[in-house]
Amino acid sequence: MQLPKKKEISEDNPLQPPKKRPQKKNPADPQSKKRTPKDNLAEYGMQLLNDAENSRNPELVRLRIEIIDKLFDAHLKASAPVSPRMALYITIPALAALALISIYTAMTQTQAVYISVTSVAILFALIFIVFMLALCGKMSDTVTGKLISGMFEKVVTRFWKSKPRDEE
Amino acid sequence: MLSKKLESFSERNSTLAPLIEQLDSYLTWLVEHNVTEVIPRVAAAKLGISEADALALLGLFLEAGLVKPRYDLVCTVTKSVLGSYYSRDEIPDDAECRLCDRQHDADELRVELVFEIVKGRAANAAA
Repeated sequence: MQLPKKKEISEDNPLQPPKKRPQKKNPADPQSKKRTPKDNLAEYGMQLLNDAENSRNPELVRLRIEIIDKLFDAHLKASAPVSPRMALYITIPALAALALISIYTAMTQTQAVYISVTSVAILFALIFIVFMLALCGKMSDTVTGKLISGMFEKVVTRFWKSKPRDEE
Repeated sequence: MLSKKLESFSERNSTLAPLIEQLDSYLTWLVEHNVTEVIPRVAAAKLGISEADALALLGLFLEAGLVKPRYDLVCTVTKSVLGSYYSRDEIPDDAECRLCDRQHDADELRVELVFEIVKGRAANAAA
């Protein structure tokens, strides 16, 4: 007759705490050590927001976002350091400022200066929008990196090619 | 009977009015059975909606002053409540569990949000 294994005994006895299960996360990761119960709560809040069974009633959507943001702090802690509303407050004045600079240049400077200033303004605006989308958690880091590097590559290549032509 | 705030909300959002009434009836039923708190997950199951939607409705009751949020810090090993807090900022990063007789960190702790039914409402239901 075989004796029951020790593990089976401890699982049957509710008074005896079971042995610590292996964690899913990599223990070498320094970020996993710093986790707090509040972070877990915020993560759970994000899960609730992304639940497929959630109603599509616009008023319920608004209430849901508000209450989960308020009680779970889901917006700020989960993965997005900037809330979409804050990103809008920053982006709109910045884009307006770039547009004003462009308009001012068009009125006061020559066409060549206007074109170059507007090009730089558009480039800045695009970079700014990409950064804000990344900070809001709407775009992954990989996509952001690819977009930024792609944009710089195109600009640098264009300037690099246009210079020798000018000299010729 | 719904509070004025909930009534005006129900009038503005007729599609949500039945859900608000159902939740109000559920809270009344809980009070009548001497239950002083409502768990969003359970309320969601009762109303047949998602937990997030139940939270949204409970948010309305919170604004109306009918419920009060409370965070329970639970040991995931023994499922025992190690502490209750009325503010998110008060939740500690780790806690000692007397049943396990050791200190737990975030990996072994879970925060459960419950809503306490305010005493005024409980008294009204009892009357």
